[in-house]
Order: sequence, then structure tokens, then C-alpha cells
Amino acid sequence: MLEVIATLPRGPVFLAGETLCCNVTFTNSSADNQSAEEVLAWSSVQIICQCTVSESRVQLPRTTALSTEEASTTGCETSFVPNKGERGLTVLCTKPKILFCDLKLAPGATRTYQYEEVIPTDAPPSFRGQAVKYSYKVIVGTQRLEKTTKMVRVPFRVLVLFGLNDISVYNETEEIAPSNPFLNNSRKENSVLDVGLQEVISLYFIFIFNTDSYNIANGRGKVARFLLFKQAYKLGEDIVGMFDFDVGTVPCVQYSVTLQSEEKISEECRRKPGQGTAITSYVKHQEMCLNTLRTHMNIPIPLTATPGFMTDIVCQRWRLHFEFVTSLDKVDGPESVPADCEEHQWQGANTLNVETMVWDLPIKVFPTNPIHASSVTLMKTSALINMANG
Amino acid sequence: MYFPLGWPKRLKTPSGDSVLISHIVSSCDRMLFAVISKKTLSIWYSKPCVQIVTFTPCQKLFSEIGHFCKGEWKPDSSLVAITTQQNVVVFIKVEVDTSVKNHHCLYVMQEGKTPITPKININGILDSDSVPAIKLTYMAHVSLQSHISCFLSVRDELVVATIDGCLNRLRWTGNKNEKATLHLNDIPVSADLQQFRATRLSSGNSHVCEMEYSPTLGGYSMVLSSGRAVFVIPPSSRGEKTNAHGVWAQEVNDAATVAVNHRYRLIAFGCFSGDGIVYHLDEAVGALEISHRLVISSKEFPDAGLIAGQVTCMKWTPDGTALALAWKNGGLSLWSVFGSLLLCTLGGDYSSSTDSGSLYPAPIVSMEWGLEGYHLWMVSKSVAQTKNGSDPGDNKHREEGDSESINAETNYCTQLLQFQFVKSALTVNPCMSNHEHVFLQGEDKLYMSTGDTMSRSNLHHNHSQQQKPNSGSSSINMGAGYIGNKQWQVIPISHSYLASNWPIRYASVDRAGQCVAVAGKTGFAHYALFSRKWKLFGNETQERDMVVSGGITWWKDFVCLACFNIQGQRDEIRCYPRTAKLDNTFAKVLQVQSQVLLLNTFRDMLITFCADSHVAMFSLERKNVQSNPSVQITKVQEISLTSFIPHPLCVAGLTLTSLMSESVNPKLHPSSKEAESMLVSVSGKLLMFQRDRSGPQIKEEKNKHRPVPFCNPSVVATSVENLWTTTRANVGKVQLMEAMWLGCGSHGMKVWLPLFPRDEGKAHNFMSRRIMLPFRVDIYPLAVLFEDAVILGAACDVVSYTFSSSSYKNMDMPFCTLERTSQIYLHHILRQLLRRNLGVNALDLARSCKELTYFPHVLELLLHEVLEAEATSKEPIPDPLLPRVVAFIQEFPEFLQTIVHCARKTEVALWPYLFSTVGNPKDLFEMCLLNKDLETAATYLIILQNLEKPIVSRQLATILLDSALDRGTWELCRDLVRFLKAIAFPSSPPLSPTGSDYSYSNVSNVGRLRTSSIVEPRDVKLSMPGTAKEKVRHTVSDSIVGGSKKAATKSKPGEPTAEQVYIDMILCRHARKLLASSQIRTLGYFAANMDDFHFVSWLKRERVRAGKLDDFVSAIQTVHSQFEWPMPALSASFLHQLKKSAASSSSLSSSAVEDDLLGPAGDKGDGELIQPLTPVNICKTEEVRGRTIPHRLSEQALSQMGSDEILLRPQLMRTDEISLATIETSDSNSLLGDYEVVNDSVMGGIGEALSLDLEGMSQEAAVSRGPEQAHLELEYLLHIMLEASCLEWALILAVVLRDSLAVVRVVNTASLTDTPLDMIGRMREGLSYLELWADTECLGYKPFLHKIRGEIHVLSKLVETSTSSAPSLSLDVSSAVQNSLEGDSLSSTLSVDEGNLSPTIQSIRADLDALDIEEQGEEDTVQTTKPSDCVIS
Repeated sequence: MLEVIATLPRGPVFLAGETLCCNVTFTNSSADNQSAEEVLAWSSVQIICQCTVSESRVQLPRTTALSTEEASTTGCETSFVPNKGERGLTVLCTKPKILFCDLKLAPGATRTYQYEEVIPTDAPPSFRGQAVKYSYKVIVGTQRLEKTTKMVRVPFRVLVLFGLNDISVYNETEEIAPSNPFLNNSRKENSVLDVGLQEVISLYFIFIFNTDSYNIANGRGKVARFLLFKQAYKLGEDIVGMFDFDVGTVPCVQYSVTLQSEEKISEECRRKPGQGTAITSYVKHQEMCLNTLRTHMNIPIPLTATPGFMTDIVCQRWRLHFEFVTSLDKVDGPESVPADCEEHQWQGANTLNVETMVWDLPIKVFPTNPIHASSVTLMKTSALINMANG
Repeated sequence: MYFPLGWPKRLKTPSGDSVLISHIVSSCDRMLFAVISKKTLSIWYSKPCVQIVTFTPCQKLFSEIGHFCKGEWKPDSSLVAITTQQNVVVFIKVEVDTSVKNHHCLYVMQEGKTPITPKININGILDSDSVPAIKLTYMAHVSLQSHISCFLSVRDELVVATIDGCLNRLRWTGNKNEKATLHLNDIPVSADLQQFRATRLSSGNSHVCEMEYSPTLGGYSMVLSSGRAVFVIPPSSRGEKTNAHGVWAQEVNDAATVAVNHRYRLIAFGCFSGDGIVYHLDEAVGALEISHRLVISSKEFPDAGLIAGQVTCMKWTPDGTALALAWKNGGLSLWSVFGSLLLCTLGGDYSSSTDSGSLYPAPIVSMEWGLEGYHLWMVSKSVAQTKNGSDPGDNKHREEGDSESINAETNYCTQLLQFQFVKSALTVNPCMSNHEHVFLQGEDKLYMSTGDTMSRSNLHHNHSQQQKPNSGSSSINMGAGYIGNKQWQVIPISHSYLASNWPIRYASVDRAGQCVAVAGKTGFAHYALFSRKWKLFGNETQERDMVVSGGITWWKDFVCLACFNIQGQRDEIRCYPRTAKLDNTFAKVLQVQSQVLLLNTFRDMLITFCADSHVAMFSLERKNVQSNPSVQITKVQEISLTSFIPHPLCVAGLTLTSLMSESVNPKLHPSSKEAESMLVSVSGKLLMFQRDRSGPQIKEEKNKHRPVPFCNPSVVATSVENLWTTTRANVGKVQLMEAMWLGCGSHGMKVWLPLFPRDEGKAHNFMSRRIMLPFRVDIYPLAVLFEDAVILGAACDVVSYTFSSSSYKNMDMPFCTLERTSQIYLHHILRQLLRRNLGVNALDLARSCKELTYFPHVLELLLHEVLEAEATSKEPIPDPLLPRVVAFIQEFPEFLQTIVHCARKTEVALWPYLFSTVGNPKDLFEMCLLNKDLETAATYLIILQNLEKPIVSRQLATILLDSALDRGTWELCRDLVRFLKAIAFPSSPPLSPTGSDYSYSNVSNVGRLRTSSIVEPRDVKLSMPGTAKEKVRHTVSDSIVGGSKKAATKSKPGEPTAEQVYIDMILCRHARKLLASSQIRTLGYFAANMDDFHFVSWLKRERVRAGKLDDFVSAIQTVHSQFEWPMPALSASFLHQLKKSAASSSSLSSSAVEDDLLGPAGDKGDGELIQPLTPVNICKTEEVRGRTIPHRLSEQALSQMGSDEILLRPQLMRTDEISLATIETSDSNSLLGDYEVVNDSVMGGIGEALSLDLEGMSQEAAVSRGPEQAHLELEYLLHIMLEASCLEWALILAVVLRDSLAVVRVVNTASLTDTPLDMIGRMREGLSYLELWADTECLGYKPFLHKIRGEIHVLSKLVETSTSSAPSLSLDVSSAVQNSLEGDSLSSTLSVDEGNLSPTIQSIRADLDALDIEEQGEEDTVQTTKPSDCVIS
């Protein structure tokens, strides 16, 4: 029995540009000490990104990489075809790295290899849309002598920070590189993680002090005033907005805010020309506000969502979708009853003649620290196969 | 626990004086809120939060009864009673307005022409978003004889207190119950119920200001007008006591308000001082005893009482786990049931944003908790200046109406606010799995701390892999990293479920933190985090038919819940599988005879507590017979707790556990233990029911499944809010896993720790004790991570949003957010154990946690806390703990580090106390040096600098600098150099360290400027064993010292200071050491990192001293090894030849070198063996073999007589590098000459062709260079060496780089500048030896040397010309060379060793060296001609 375990010690979420590190452990798990040592011919690791599309909506230009069918027919049983058995199109495939050739493992022996690979910054993010999906996997291929190739797949998630293309730009900012090569070693390289987060923060500062106030009105008058304190958010953050109905002249009965993402297929890939965008709703906040002067909403952005991005095929944007249910008639409050001497009773209206008005407000959603995102992504960080004697 | 979230919501209330709200009170089910203003009664609905109806009586009535004051609801919500200013109680009927269509709902929305969606009404339960229509009817009013101070709805009566001291009883029909009227003065009051000397209330305590009734306490809690507080037990209808009697609340005489907690049987009094005092009733004596006080500490907000004023309102949350408290001048606080402060809006971020003086929120007149405690309705009173937005005409209009009251009161207005809260799921559903996570439930969201779940899954993963050696430690660290993760995972509750089932009553998370279940008004729903999907009942009728009443929990893949079946009108326990559709057909239903109040699981047991005070235990068994999993529930045991609990409502928690008061030795028990005890929390008192195993064992024989009965309970602790035990097992951490943790509010936390006996050998000793250790926590605990020794909690944090527009200025208030907090507790426990002389147990405990990443931090905290406590104590401590703590820490390798880190974090004033216990810091410093822990040593240096004289710290700093230089820790070196500079001139700003964390106490050093007389002796001492040359250097430096002495005294700017010179000296010495031992890569780093070191100028000085290089071959080899620079490789055929020759020479070491040489290209080389071995080749190699062996012998003989010059050189190296290289060198060198002969004779003709070939091959080989970084470094060093005309090294580097142009440059420099002749001589000689070496050992160099043959020639020309110009002097020159050589070698040898050896040893070595050199000199003349010949040929 031979066991291959691949684990991602850092967790399953990475920022594009980061170095993915994967520990691959090979164990000869046969308990019998008499059994012969296992010989593994080779093992090789690769990262692939598969893109699956909904055929009814997306038409792929046939210029990109080999489709799986083609790829799988080219390789025979004993060669390493990382995307074998995967659906869809391989849009990213790193160079295979060989962990070893001819590994001999005595019964009970274990060898661990570390695989490192940089996830390209121009890679698409992991995405599970309605028409397009991008999914990443680390593929470990292993072959025992004269047996078929076996593969271990560890799925992981990639967050892409748009605008973060070349990491070296950020490293050069410090000063001109010192001429003394002996100092080079001591200087700390900015990790992608730091830079990425700095970038997020700097983007943040562009938006953070920019409290936007929106006066929401319909044909009959002012409905409310809406304050949004930021336009850009990180995954996992709360979108906080405040509604002020005190300023309204049109009675607003109810409002709802929904966090939505729009998935738009690029024009050349659309199956039908008039094809619209696919909307996915995440979190909805709804409140009856007839007797409310001021209230707020607090919508968390799911850590598992994909931040806004754009590839050749698809583009994802984020927005807040507002619905305001306003009354067509004036809604009287208790003070409307004349203050005369008689005993009287005011009662809320039985029916309200309402209309619903909608409004979409685009917002920006950025990735967060991948370690934070790891903590909720319940992806397994390891995969295991047993290669039985057969 | 409760935590506020966001801003308070502001509700629309009519503005104006007549509608100033005076009181808000909710109906019993908290669905309706009566808002009472002077002239109106309004009913609000809880959700959606809208106003339903407003009732205004006619003006005539008001003139008769006065304005409305306060209201009370009849328990069935059918009537509202309102008191008025003129002693009248008005009864107003509240009923559903059946005239309203559509299920009597209001605010039904109709959009366009689409028909109104009919409201669903199943079992009489409306959708959550529909608003019932209500009408109010004036019923009656009752006048009382005196002014009403307060009134209370108790069961079917109203108790009305008047200021004449009467307690009147009114029926809800509006009739007085005159018989039951009591007068305060008739009630005898005593300190406790047992005392006979009860006194009647004096007239000073004339009337009741506030009162509350509690059925679980069975009496009224009253605040009297005198400020005293009393608990009155009414006359019992059962007749044993015919008279009411009271008990004083001791120690309170300024009470203002009261709030009673039914569940925990607590009476809280709010005082005029602004504090709160909470009492509990001692049942044994019947006295009120103080449980705890609610005091805002000065740390939170100083002078809270003065600024905030008296306590005006207090309200317990519906579940009784928290108390909201408001003050007269504003501000709100929230306390847990036993007094942990959860929120305080005084000070901090709450008040800073608004203009000074006003507290936030504005003074609260009245408040009331909403359903399930998700909202706090507050009526706040604020100054009426904000109303500029509303129409001013309206205001004017009102002003005319009641003008006289304007002057008095219209300067304020009231606001109706609604604060939102989230609460811990533990408050109502304290089941096992909820205790393992920080899991909070909000109105429409669930909050879960992500870190702990992640670490759990990691740990779990870990356990499965325990056998594998590698994975263990790393993932534990990962887990620790996640514990610090403060990201919340927010799960929005399904909208469709909430729409009909708001509010969420119970929430539960499974053990792994992967699945959650919520139960609202009816039914329930569950969610899986991995699929991110909610599962709701497919059949809505099933959902509406059940009401989850007693909690919900997870057992494996099942949701277990206790519910009331509306259809069948019975109580049931149900288990639904998670994987199947949510439908009753998949559920396992078990009927129970009474309503279940609490539900919990333990392993495969389900335990319930029912309203009839019975505890029932069920065993759960998974059945997989059908396609869907199902569970079998079997009742195992039922126990009545009636005699132990006052009221079923008081049971706040129920747990089964494997713990026993006497913990059994873990070795004797299997890890899967049975449920040994039952823990029941009764109003905060923790009762432990242990299994009674003392009984006869016959039972077991009769019936195997007969459960073991429980003993009578013992009280484990009081004031318990929460308790944590675990069913997990971890063999390594038994002590932590077997512990029980208690959260006790203001009493901190307690741990019930098992104490395992030390010696397991003794049989009678297998039972061990437990110990209860209390400790403080700064956070509110919500989860205990047993293995990680961490407590997790949550707290309210505040974000200030700034509003740009000025009209929002008054909204500049804080936005509350949730923060995840965590705390390490291990040090508290260790301290407690040490205090109790349980050091052995402390050690066991600490050792089991050693792998935690924050373990060093734990030790530090332990030391720090004890030190602070004992060093600052004013009285002498009879039995100080510090020595014990220090001894304890000494057991761990982190000892030195812990001590110094702790010292750094404490005041200097406490250091003497610390070090008097720990020992002399100097000794510790030396220990660090011994342990090679230089960083820690550096930290000690800072301590020493404050404690010792500057001279001492300088001395130590120098020692440290030396070792730091040796270790190549450049950062530390730089810091130390800065330090050395700074301790002499503490006042000079440019020298003060910037960016380093070193703190200098300037005071201690002022005026103690080190005089140079101190330097000089030291200086002399260091250079004493120096030779003549050394002396010269010494005099030079001495003169500088002298100069600086003047400079220092005259303080002349620009001159180097004594300090500078001193540091320079140390640096130069080290540099010389490095250069002399050929460690030029280290030298490069050294020079680059030491800012004070002038590399080039120093090299210029040293080029004829330490920079002198005699053994080129070993220099080349060491450069190669230092820079990991591959030796030039040749093609396979040549290497093969080489191998053969090497094998023939039978030198193991040299063949090893060749294997190295083969390096990466080696594998490929084997395949590319192009040149077949010709017979000639074979014979040649045989020739070689034949000849070398005798020569080796002869060589040995030769070395006995007097070895050649080169043989000696390695002694320079030997001190540093006892490597194979030196041996090789000597071996090969001794071979050289003869091999050359062989080569000449045998290879002869093919030599020319070979060299051509070699050149071509070396072109290829040149591509295979070393690492890029090394290349850069080599080039840089070459450049530096050239600049400093340190030509020998430049030549070496040029050769290593195989840069022929650089060689040309070196040679040119040699010829052009005034290079010392001996240097050129050495270069030429060195090259010759290199050639020889290349021929024999490293053929890869051959092509390159061939290439620079011209330059070698030039060099020899240079030597020849200079010697020929003065031929007679040639011998003299060589002897001069010898002399200088001698001196140099000595000085360099010594510089390596100086300080390490005693002078005698050094002198011996010097003698030996001198001897060697003399011998060498004799041989020299013989040897010199030979190499030059070789070069020419």
C-alpha cells in the first residue's frame, strides 16, 4: 500500500502572485515488514486552472488551450496529464515540476517533498458563476513502476487583486537598489501578500473618507437620504449605510437592500447577442420603515464570494440593489387627528397603495487577506490517495 | 451574552409637548409595546416596528384625572392600566379590531392592480411581517386616596403603592380589593427571617418608590422613599403565615430603582450614587446577601457616579442573563448576570465625538427589552434643538396651545430609540456544542468566530495524522495563528424562514462548527456552511405545527429538539437527520409528558430537563437500515429534582459530564468515559450529582442496562454563568482536558483542576483531588479551547463614522461593532498552583503546553504579574512567590529570555527586586553568551547598562560585539556599535539610536564620560603580544587615541572621538581576522553591514599585512567553497583521465574533490563520454601511477628534512578551517613538481592540441557559473580589492571569476603603481603554484591559466627586471621578503588567536613558526627556479 498525501499548510486560499506551497508526503503504509520496498518511478506536480462554461450561454473562441478531450487523448495511461478527468478548458497550467525520480520506500518509510510555485498575477480568480466557473487544483501525479499514473488533486482558491500586476514595482519604491551586493541579502523583499494588502489599503483610502450621500427621490418627491461611508470593501467586511427618512416627503413603507453580483459574458463569447447579465443575490436586508426616522443597514460581504474581476470570457461586478416601497397616498400619523376635546383613536391604515422603485448602486469588492478567507473556506487542505498493489 | 450592534434606530413619534413620552412598557409576550405620553396611549408592534393605534381620551377626562404617567399590562395583554397625575388608575381595553379585513391585519400593501396577497394564518399564528389591527377602548378608572408612587401587575391584580404608605390592590375589572390593602407600617422588617426582633417601618420610610414582584423569589422587592430597600414576603394564602413580613437589604440606603431577575433569583438595586448592588436571597436564613456590585471602575470611566448621576432605569433581559442600566444624566451600561461589564457608553469612544458634557445616549426615561432581547426600546430625553428639520410652524402652533408648560419643559423632547443587540447562543440554549464556539445570534444573522473552527478542523486533521512525524508541529502553529483571527463569519438567516418565524429563539451549532440550526416562532431551519444552503421544511404546515420550546442541539448528523406539537397538543422530542429533506417523515419523534425546558447532549446521551422538574436521559443510537439515516431514542433514566430546585425556571444549565469530584487517575481509565456526573446550574449555583457507585452491585447482574443512581448533590460553585467541560480526549494534556471551567461574572473565572498524584506506583493513591482556582479575566468568556489553553470571547467595539454634512452633526455617534477577543489563562493557573505549593502540578501542566507558540509569553506574564504584585507591595511579604516562580521558569529553556523580556517591560525601580531573586544579570548575560543566545544577551546588556557602571557595560558590549561579529549577526553588530557610541555620549542627539528598541536611561550616564586612560590600558593589553609591525600599528592608533583625548577634552568638532577610535579598532581587528583567515565573503558582509567601517582605506593599509596571500591554491579553494562557486569543469573524457590519475595517487580526499567537481554536470557527463580511451591513454595513466607512488615516498622523506615553502602555509588556515582542503593542498603541492615532469614526458606531443581543446571546453564550462548573487559579490569584491590595490586577492578573485581582463587589470596595476616587489613576487609565485595545482588537481582551471599565460609572463618579467636591476640585492630582497613574511604570518596568526590564548602559548607558537620559516628559507632558493621553468614551457 502506498499513500500519497498532498497538503496546503497555509490554507486553501491564495492571492495571485503569491507562492503556493504544497507538501507532498509519500508513505509506504504496508504494515508488513517483510514486504518489499515500493518503487515509485516519478512524481510530478502542477497547478491547473479549469474553466467550465455553460454551453447554452457561452461560446468559447477556439484559440485557447487544448480542451480536455484533446489533451486526454494525446496522453496514454502512463503519462502525466494533469487535466485528465477534469471538465472544461484548462486556462492555466504551470510547468510541471518533478519531485523525484526513482523513489524507493521501505515499509513504513515516509518522504515529504515540498512543492512551490508562484501563482501568476494575471491568472483568473476562482469563481463559481452561473455561466462560467474557474477552479484551481494542485495536481500531484505519481507512477509506480509499470503501473498507471495516479493523481492527487487538492483544490484551492485564488483571489486576484486587480491592478496588482508586477510585484517588483512595489519593491523598487524604497530606494535605488544598493550597489553593494552584500547588502542585498539583508533587505527584505516585499511579499505579495504585504503588497497586495497595502494595495487594498491604499485603494481603501481613496474611498474611505468619501462618505457619499444620496438623495433618493421618485416622481412624487423625496423618499429618503442614504449615506454610504465607503464605496470599496474587502471580502468579509460589512457594508454599512444609513437611511434618513426624516427628510423624505414621500412616505416610504418598506425598503430592502440586496448585495448582488453581476456576471457578464464578454460580447464575443455570448451565445445569443441579446443575452443579459446573470445576477446573483447574496445578503438581503429588509425593513419596514413607515414609522422610522433613521435606521441603518449592515450587510456582510461573504468571505466566500469572488471579488470583482474581468477575464476574456466573463466580468463580475458588484452592486447594491435597493427596493423602496413607497405609498402613493399620504400616510397619516396619529398627529393628523385634530386635537379637539373629543376622545379619539387613530389607527394605522388598513391597506396601503404602494409602488416599488428600484435602484442599483455599484460598489467595489476587493480581496482580503487570504489567511482570513482561509478560515471560512471549508475546502479541504489535503487530499489523499491510496495506491494499492494492483 | 449581549452585545450592541450598529446605531440605535430612531422611530417617528409625534413631536410636541403633549406627546412627550413618559413610559414604555411591553406586553407579557413582548409583541406589543404601550408607549405612554401625557395625553396618549400608543401601541407599537414589535416587528415590523410600526405604530398600530393611538388613543387620546377627551379633554374633559384629562381635567378630571390629570396626565398619564405610567402603564402596566394585564398578563394576558387584554388590558392596559395607566396611572395619572391625580391618583387615578385608568383601564384601557386592548383588543383585536375584527372589523379590519384580511385576517385583521394593518398596513397590507397593494401594488397597482395586483390583488392583495392574502395573509397566511395557520394555528392562529400570523406571518411575522403582518401587523394585527388593534383597537383601544376606555374601560374605567379608579381613584385612590393618595398620590400613586408606583404600581405593579401581579397575576390577576394590580398592586398600587401610594405615598401614604399603602399598598392597594386593584382587580383588572377596576374594583378595589380593600381587604388585601396593606400598609407599609404594618409590615415587620428584620435583617433575616429567623430573627424575632423585627421592627416596624418608621415614618421616614414612608412609601414605596419602586417595586417588583418575583414568583421565583415569592415576594416583592421594594425601594422605599428613604432610600432603603426591603424584600417583602406577602401573606401566604396557604395560611402558614398570615402576615406579610420583610427583610432588609443590608448596606444600602440610597436605592433609587429595582430590578428582579426571576431566573437567577437576584434583586438588583440601582443607587443614587450611580452604582448598582445585586442581592441574592439566602434561603437558609432568609436574609438578603450581596452577590456583587455594579460599579463602573475608574479604569473604565472616572467619577462615573458624579457625572452620570443616579441610576434611573434597570431592566433584565427577557432571559435574565444581562441587565441594562441607565443613568440620570445619560449613558447606558450592560452587565452580565453576575456582574461582568459588557457595555458602558460613558467615556471612551462614545462621548468623544459629541460636544463635551453630554453623555451618550441622552438620558433614558424609560426602557424595555424587545422580543428575545434583540432590541432595547428606549425613551430618551434630549434638548429640543435638533428639530430644525421639521416644520417650525407646527411647533409654534403648539406653543400657543399650552404656553405655560413650554417655559418649564419644552426645552427638551423625547425620542423613541431602538438599540439592536446580538446575544450569545448560550443565553437560552446552553448545550454542549454551543460552548465550543463563539457563536452569537442576532435578529437576522448568526455570528461565528472563524478562527476556532479552523483550528479545530486542523487539530482534528492532526489527530488523524498523529503517527506521521512531520505534520504535527506545523499545523499546531497554524491553529494558533487562526485563534488570533478575528474575522467573523456572518451567516444571514434564511429570509423565507424569518418572514414567518421571526424572532429566532434558539440557535445551535454543531461541534465541528459546520452546521447550524435555528428555531424561531415555529418550526426550525438548518444550514451547512460547506454548502452555504439553508434547509427549510418543505411542508409549511409541518413547520407551523411545531414550536421549539426547550432548545435545539446537534447530535452527529441529527438535529435534536424539544418542541410542542400544536396539532397534537403534546410535548415531543424530535430528531431530524441533516442529510435528508426536512420533513416529519424522516424524523424520529418521542412524546414526553411535560414541557422540556432544557436540552443537552453528552456523547450518545440526550438529557432533558422538563417543566415538572424531572431530568430524563435518553440514549441515542444511529440506525442506517433505511436509505435515510434515523436515530433510535431510548429512555434510560429519569430523576426528579423537585427537592433541589426552587422553581423549574431557575434551572439555567444542565450538563452531563465524565468528571468526578475525585478525578480518577487517567492511566486507569479508558479515554471514553461514561457520564459520571450531572451538573445542574440552579440560579447560578452549580450542583453536582455524582453517580452512586457505593450501592450494591447486584443490580448490574440483574439487568445490565440498569442505570446507576445519582447521589445527593454537592454545591461546586456559586455565581456560575457558564460552564465548560469537554468530551474530547488528549492524552498529552489530561490535566487541561479533565478540568472544568466556570464563568462567574465579576468573580472572574474559575477552573476546577484535577491534581494527579506524582508517584503512580502507590496503589492507594489512584484517586486524586481537585482544586478550584479562581482567576481574573479581562474578556467575557464564551468558549474555552481546552488544548490551546485559550479563552475566547466577544466584546463591543466602536467605530466612529464622520459625517461631512453639518446637518448630521447630532448623529456623530458611535457605531457599535462586534469584536472577537481572546485571552491566555495558563499563567493565572500556574501562579495559583505555585502559590498553593503545587509546583509539581504546575510543572506537569506547563510541560504539557510547551509546544504552544505563546508558551514563552505565558512564562513572561507569570513572572511579570508576580513581580509587579510583590515589588510594589507596601508591606513586607512573609512568603514571597517570586523565588518559586523564578525557580519554576528555570525549568524551561526560555528562562533567560523570559527574565530579560519581563525586566524590559517593568519599571527600572523593580529591577533590583527582580534580580535579587533571579541572580546577577551579569551572570545571566554570560549564560546567554555561553548558550550562544546573542539576541538575549543584547537585551541583558540594556538592563546592565542601567544597573552597572558604563565601563562595565562597555566591557560587556565589547565581548558581545566580538561574539556577534564571529557569528555574523550583523544587525546585532550594528546595534551594538550604536550602543557603544551612545553610552559614551548620551546627550549627543545624532548618536542616539534611532529605530532600535533600545532604551537608555540618560541620567545614569551623564557626567561619566569615559576617559581615554581607560582605553589605553585595554588597547595595550589587546595588542601586547604583537610583533614589531603590530607595534607600529599600535603606535599609530595610539597617536589617534592621544589626539582624540585632546579632542574629547577640548571638544573640538571634526576629530574622531575616542569612542569612534575604540570601535574602529574592534572592527579593524575583526576584519583583519577575517582577511587573514581568507574569509572574504564574510568580510564582504561585514564591511557592507558595518557603517563605520571604511573598507577600501582599511584594505589599503592591510594589503601588505593581513591582505598578503601566500598560498594561492588554498585561497582559491576557500573562495570556491565560501561562495559555493563551482570549480571549472572539464569534459567527461578529461575528467575520466583525471579520476584515473587521482585513483592512482590513492588520495581519498582528492578524489572526493573531483566528485564534487563533477557536480551537476556529472550525470550528463557520463553519457557524453566521447573520447574513447586509447591504449596510449591507458598506458599513460599507468605510467602516472607507477611514478607517483615512489615520489610520494620521496616527498615524505623530503618533508622530513625540510619541507617546501608551501607546506607551511596551511598552518595559517588550520586555526579556522580544519578541512580536507588543507590536507589536499599539502598533498598535491608536494606532488606537483614530479607530476609536471611526467606530464611533459608522456603527454608531450598531444599537449598543444589538448590545450586548444581545453580552451574550447572551458568556454562551455564558463557558462556553468555559480549563483548569481555570489557572482555579484565576487565582482564587487574584485572591484574593491583592485581599488585598494590589494592585488593578491584581486588576482585570486579574477581567477575564480575566470575573468582574464580582470587579470590584465591586476597585472597592469601591479606594473604601473608602486606595488611592493614582494607582492608581485608572491603573485607570480602563487600563479605558478596554481598552475601546478591545476595540472594535478583541478584540470578545469587549466584552460583559463593557459589563457592568462601572458600575464603570468608579465609578472615574472616584473620580478626579474626589479631583481636584475639590483642583482646583488636579490638574496637580500628575498630575505627581506622572508622577514616580512615572518612578521606577517605571525601577526596574522596572532590576530586570529589574540585574546583566546595566553601570551605564553602564543610565544611558543611564534617560536615554532619562526623555526618553520627558517627551514623554509633554506628550501626557497631551490624551489624558486622550478616553477618559472614550468611556466615558460
